Amino acid sequence: MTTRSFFHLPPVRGLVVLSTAALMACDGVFDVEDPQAFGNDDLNNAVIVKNVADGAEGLLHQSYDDMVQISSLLSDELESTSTWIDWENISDGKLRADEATVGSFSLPQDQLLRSRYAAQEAADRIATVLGASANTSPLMVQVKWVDAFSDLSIGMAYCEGPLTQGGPRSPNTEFFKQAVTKLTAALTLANGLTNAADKTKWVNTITASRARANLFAGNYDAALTDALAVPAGFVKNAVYAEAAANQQSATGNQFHQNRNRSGGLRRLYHNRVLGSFNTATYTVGYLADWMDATKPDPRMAVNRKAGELGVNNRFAYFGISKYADRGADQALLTSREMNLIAAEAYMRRNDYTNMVAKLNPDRITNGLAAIPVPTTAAAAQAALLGERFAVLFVEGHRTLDLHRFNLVTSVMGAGRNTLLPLSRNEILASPSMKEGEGTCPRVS
Amino acid sequence: MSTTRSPGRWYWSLSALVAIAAAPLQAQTGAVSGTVTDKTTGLPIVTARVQVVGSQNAAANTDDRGRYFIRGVSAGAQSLRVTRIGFRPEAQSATIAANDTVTVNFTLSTSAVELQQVVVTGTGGAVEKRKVGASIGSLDVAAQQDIMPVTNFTQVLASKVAGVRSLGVGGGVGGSQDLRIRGIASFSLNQRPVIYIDGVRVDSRASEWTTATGMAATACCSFSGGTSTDRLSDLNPNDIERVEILKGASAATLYGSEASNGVIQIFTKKGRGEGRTQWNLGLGTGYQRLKENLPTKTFPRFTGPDGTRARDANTLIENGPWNSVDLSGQGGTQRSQYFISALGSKEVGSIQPNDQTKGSLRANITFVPTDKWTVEVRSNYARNVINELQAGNNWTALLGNAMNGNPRNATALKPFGEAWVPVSDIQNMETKSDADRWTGGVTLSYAFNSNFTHRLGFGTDAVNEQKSRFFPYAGQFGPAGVTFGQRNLGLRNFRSTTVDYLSTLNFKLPFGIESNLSFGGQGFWESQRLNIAVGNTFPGPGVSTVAAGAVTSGGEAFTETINLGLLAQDRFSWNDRLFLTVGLRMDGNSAFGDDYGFQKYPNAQLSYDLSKHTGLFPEAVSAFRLRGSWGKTGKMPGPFDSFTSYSAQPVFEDVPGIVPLNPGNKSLRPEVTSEREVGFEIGLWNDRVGIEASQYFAETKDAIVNKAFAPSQGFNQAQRVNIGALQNRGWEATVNYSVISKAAFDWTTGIKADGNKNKVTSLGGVTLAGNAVRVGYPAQGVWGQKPNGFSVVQGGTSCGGLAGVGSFGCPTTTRTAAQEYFGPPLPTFNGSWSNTIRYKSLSLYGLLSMERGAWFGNGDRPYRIRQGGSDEYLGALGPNGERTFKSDSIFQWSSILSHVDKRDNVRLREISLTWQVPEKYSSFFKTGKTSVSFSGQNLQWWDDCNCVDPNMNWAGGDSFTINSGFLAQPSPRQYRLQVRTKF
Repeated sequence: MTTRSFFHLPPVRGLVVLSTAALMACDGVFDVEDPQAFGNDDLNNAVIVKNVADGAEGLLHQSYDDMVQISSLLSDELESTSTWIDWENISDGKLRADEATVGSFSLPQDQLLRSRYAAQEAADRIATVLGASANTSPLMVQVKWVDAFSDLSIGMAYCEGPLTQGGPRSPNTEFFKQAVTKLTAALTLANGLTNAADKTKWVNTITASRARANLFAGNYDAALTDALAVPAGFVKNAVYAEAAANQQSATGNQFHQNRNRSGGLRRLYHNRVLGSFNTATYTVGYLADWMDATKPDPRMAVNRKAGELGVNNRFAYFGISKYADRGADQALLTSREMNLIAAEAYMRRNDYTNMVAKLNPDRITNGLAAIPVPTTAAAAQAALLGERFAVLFVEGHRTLDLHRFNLVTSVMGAGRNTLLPLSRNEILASPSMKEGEGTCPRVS
Repeated sequence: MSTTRSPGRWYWSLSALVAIAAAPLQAQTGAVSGTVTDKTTGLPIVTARVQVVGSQNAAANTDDRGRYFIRGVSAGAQSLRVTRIGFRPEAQSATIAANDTVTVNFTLSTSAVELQQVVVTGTGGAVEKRKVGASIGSLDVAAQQDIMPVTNFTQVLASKVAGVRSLGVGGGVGGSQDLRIRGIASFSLNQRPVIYIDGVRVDSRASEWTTATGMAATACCSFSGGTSTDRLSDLNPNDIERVEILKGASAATLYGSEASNGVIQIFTKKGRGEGRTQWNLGLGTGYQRLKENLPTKTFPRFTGPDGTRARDANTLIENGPWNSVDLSGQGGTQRSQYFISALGSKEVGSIQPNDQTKGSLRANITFVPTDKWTVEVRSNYARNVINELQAGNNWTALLGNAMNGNPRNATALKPFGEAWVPVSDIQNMETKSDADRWTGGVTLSYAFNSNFTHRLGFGTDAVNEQKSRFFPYAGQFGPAGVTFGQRNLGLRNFRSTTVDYLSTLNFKLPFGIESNLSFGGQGFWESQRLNIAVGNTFPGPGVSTVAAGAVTSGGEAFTETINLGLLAQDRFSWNDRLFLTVGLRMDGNSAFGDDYGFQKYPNAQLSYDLSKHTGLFPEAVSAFRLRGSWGKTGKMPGPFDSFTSYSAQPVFEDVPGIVPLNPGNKSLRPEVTSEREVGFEIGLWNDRVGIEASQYFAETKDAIVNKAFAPSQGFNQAQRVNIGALQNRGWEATVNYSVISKAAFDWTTGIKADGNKNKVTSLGGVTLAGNAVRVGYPAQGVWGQKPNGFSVVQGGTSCGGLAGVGSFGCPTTTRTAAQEYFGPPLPTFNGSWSNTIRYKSLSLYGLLSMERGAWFGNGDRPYRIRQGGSDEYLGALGPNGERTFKSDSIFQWSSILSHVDKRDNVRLREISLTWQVPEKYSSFFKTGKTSVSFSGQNLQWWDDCNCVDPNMNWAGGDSFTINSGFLAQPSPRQYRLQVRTKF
């Protein structure tokens, strides 16, 4: 035993020296690398920046099918056949801005807002990496379109949302206006592209998008101009693949007989399905043409096995044939929609002759009788909406159509939401919002 | 019979080597031998540790006849001390003559007080419990295993140590259970305590990993539904000698940035010391069987559309056999000791297919080349193959499909009216976990002298786990996303390497104060690589590889963490009665943000052994100790949480894309828990009664909050920010009482109880989505909408989703708009009562446990009703299956409300009857001490949970699903017969 003072003991002095040496030696010891992700600086690279732009558009595609899925459940197209209470709530049109849970209704808006953010951040990065040539790069046009189309998509399903990153809530009508502004700027860039193929692709895509945005913003003449500028046969799809989760389509996953069967044709229309079904295999049937209840409309195919119920085991299940698997692509923009937009613009001018001239080619192509020129505004509206229902069946338009034409109560009954409410996640995390925020949706 | 046997050629070779190394030091020594017996019963005491005081290597354990032999004891006056858990230590003096053997016999009194028990975990070296100011739990697992064979380590701890909870069953055999110590110390990080085996930090993963590879959607929640396999089940419980548990931050400070959830150190058995090899053979058999309380007993009343009469899910319950054989040997010399063991066992689940086959080989060898050096080498290899049960929140949950269906949809293919996938197809699936694991290490100890020692430890735990799942071509797996078969293959490589150095120095200070200084460092490097491959859509039956799928894909993930810490601690003793300990640990960690440096964790402990004051207490008080402690410890963030990162992921159709992922945080640091604890131990009537009580208050600051960015602000993941705080306040009490102790009869009883209240005190101004974490309420608290009105609606066309309204109208319950608080997810009170009664050679042991105060989201109950199944709903239908006011009421209620129920229960957890075979019989078979025990576990429970098992938790060992039970597997009743014999 020793009685030397504590700090003069060799071990203690040794400890102090050892500790100091160890701490000094630690520099670099704690460096580890995450091999599965990029750091911020890694992306400021001319090769990688293309993938950043594609990532932003990929997010938009992933968001759009979620929007289609949820807004179709709110509309009269589909009904929840799941056992999920929050899907039931959407399907029943019972949603509040202060919903007790985050709920599935929040996801599409969250995703669309994230794709908008990714596009805006990508635009900044493209400007940084490409410098002066950024504004003539198709990548810049691509992300500017994603930015605008995200706004447009939010406005189609949600009654409110933030117009800017972390900004206050604004009504969906403002989203359409903002989309028009952004698309106009993007179109200017697209027209400046030097590569002809890029130019054609993006000018058509942006023009078609602006046609829709102008229509929903009430700029019918501008919508008509844009719609007429889009060539026949134009299609811009959201692209999906079966391989991994972030490439798969939610509509294909939830609404088809091969998959979850969590949503199917709304019971309201079960008696309008034409077809014969058996208990052994799935057979395709069609909803009747809105104009002739004896004629199947091939644009609205459903599949059914006689006696089969949805996974909720409550009522008959009619699957949606349009999205047969998780790799089924989804229409974002088509020239067929442009015809509908032009038709509506003509209808707003009471020019029913030109209206049916825009509606009938698609009917004739599908073996349906041509629509005679309506003689009343009500008939014109019925024709327009009947065609929009058929052409854009389960493509995410119906909710807004019922809302725009104030038809929710008459079609689906009173006491229902007309649009989806502001995302709960945005309310809770936005610096410009607070709990309890949200004044819509409008209840019919 | 005690006869000398030839230990074999290798033994002599080993001894010769050791002898050569030690030769210069062997001079003027003698030997000591004797027996250690129970003072009251006269029975031999097994595995008592006899040690020559002042010589760490001159020691031996007693054999099954209580005998010991120590060679190489320095000649002259020596003091010998014998210790054994459950007995009062004794010391005797003896004079050792050179080249002679002295006999020293000990008789020990039983003790219900553990103050003189030596502990080593988190204490800076071996020390008696009475000198430590914090509560350290300990458990003599070897003794437990003799009377109650268990196959999983988490079962070993269940209800045995106050404050430690084993909870959350979810899968079948091999499925994980969660472990919690003193409540919830984090609301965003894993809450399982860190586990060490003989000083080596080991893999204790109990949650699913197949979803961490970017392939989540291919496997729903996991290959088997979320329960996953429990890596603690790799352990051979028969290898464990004892377990030490650091419950709180004040005790675990020296473990630094990973100890907020507590530390469990497992000590495996060592060689016995001088004497012949003692072999220990265990043979076990038995079976398990689920309680037949599945809510489908009414199903056979109904027939489906094709006339099939529905089957009751209880008919799936079978006896799952268990068979086990283990063999171990302990022996050695004074300079070399060894423990070797082997295990082979197979356990089959009550719902099949589900079984676990495992084997392990262990060798623990201790060399003492000189009186100053000790070298310990440990090596354990384990193979654990589990055919996992499809359970949990999973389209192919076997019981889930059988229990959640609608009997009126029963068909020949789906006789249970299965909700999604036919049970017969699920039974044709193959879900396997196959793990190879090696855990080993080397510890070098050097004693400069008895007051200045060094210990350097190095060890590695290496786990290679392969998980696979196979959907055959022909099954109807549509809801699971599989149409023509699928094969999933996952590989997990886990490595954890631990290095630690500790030096202790004893010296005297003025005023009769002694100092015990410990200092050193500890570091670990942990890496994990996950790979998964998926092959989807086979061209036809007969193939089962990933490559045979028409669509193949893969995923990969890698993480690593490096932690280095320095520690120093000094324990000051005054007159062997007052002990003050102060310590500090400093940690650097790769998971801390770039802008954050080292984290410091201080602690201070005070212990006052008042029983050293003679005459202070009445004679009945044989021991009294007061203690208090305060300390800090931490919990490191996830490996890459601090990094700002962008995810590379395919978009469109296999086009590379990059999207914002994690906003990162350069200032990210560990969560820091500070805890203060006070307590006391009292021994009464010569320690026949032992009472221990503790009260603690722990506060976690810098708790990591997943501060979500608004979706409009981009990043998909929330930012991890150290802005939260939460508290745990609780108490623990243990009473052990040796009621009767006679030669032919003894009875000991013990009560353990603890209470815990957990509260989130700050989220840094952030409101998190959902209600699981809210300020003022327990973390993972249970919330739900409550009914707030009832009326009978006469009009309308539907009734809670059912077509039409009956003549009685539509009973309509309404609900609150907001979710309301029900209660905490963990019990606020846990209690257990154990009794061991011995009459001659028969011992009866029983353990009863109680849990109160916990709630859970009972997702199964409304789900089944909404499906049109469940005895609760079907039993309310009319005699011909027609809807009634009551059944419509139940249905409508369940269509708008998620049910919340209490987990309160009383459980007959363990019971066993053990017969110590009299020597006249065992000697007939040429064996030594032999016992036969018949035991049962989980035999009965009483609850009010509207569920099949109140401890069900759909993801087993996942820390964040403890507040819900959905499609989980109940725990089975287990019946076991075990024969243990020594020879």
